Amino acid sequence: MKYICTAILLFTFAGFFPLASADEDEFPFALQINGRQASMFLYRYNLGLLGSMAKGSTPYDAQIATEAAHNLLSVANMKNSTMWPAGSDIDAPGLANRTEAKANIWANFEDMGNKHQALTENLTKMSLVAGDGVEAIRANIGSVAKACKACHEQYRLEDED
Amino acid sequence: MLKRASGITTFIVVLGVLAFYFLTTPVSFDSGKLPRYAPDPANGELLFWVGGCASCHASSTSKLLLGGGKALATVYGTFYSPNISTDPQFGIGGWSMSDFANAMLNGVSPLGEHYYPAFPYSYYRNMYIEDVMDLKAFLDTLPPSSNKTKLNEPGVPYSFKRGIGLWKQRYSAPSSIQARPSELSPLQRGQYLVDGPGHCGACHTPRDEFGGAKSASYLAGARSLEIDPDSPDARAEWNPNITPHADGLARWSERDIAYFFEMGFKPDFDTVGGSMVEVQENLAHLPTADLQAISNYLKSLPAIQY
Repeated sequence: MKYICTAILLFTFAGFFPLASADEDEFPFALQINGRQASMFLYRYNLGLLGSMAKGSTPYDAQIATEAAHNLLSVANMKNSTMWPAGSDIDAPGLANRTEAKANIWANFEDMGNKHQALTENLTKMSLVAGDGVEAIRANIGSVAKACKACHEQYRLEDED
Repeated sequence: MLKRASGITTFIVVLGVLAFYFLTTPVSFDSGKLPRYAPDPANGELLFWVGGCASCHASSTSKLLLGGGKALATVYGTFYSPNISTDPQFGIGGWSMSDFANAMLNGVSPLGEHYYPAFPYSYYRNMYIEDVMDLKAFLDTLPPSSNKTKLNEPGVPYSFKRGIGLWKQRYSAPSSIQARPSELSPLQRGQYLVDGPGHCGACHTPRDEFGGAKSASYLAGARSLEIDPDSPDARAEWNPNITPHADGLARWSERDIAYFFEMGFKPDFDTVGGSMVEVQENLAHLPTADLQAISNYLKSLPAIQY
């Protein structure tokens, strides 16, 4: 019994220790970097709902598709400029494994804004048609992907996970 | 005694020079070796997208205007992609079919000089001759560009071009002409596309100190050799492991891989980024069966880690 209790205790606390000792916020610009990564996660999550229907790995559901498309548009409409402070790029001290944002973003901020605008327009179209059927998603998801890629091609460093 | 020693030394030097001369002499096919074949530009277009010719040779305005001039800054020097448009003066409009086959399969120019392996002929040499001929037939349909490209700026000692012959001896033995089989299984087709025209290993296989592929780590991932001229100290891209290893495609199904090529979405619906964006968008021109064949082959590779 004693051993079982010890085992349970160890097991339980083992789960907490990494959290307790995590240095998740102990790096430069942690708040802003975590913030922008959270918005990327929301894109990915909602694109996953739509995309898996387009891909054919989950059945089409008009309500889920509509919600996901609206969520994507909402994320795109958030004003996140404070999450992109200069000096929070992958080559900045202490950020090598914390961000994938390339330093060239800050020399091309206007271009990144234009690319974001294109994404917003594509997501607006998607939000209007996502409830119309899987073919409507298939017809529009390519241009959404292209808008995401436009930024990832130039401004994100592909690095080891 | 001294006379004898100097005689031996002279003999060794002469032998060395002769060996170097023969080992580094560019080897070309003669034009009589090409099959009698009416090339098919439609298949050539497919190979154009598989090979991603546009990624290096296209102008910024159109993927089909192949004026070249893109700088490839690497640890071996800066190489400028040549003009491969149909312009007879600045491009390759004046090339014969055997000139083109020699460039693609042997890495030898019409003047009989070695090309730098920045041009990935060590992969293209796996191509079937009919496919090479089809590719030229497609390139012949594209517009001319009068863009005059810069000369390469290789670092020392790579500026000594003849030395590339030694590199070829080690990493890219002269090609023999391979005829296209009438039928291939999906796995064989995938292998052909990946190992030949697709030259996936050029980025995804680590290189040794001479820039040759480390074949034991084929497709196991590599740091890019490209340098950003605007910020030379910036971290270079990581080209991921694309074998079925846990660090690579272990959790990707064949469908995931094919869908990635088609749309640019990874299984978690993150998108492709960096230089792979162009590659993915080129591959999206392929028929589904070919994308499936590539996926089939990648999943069949040994799961290795570099």
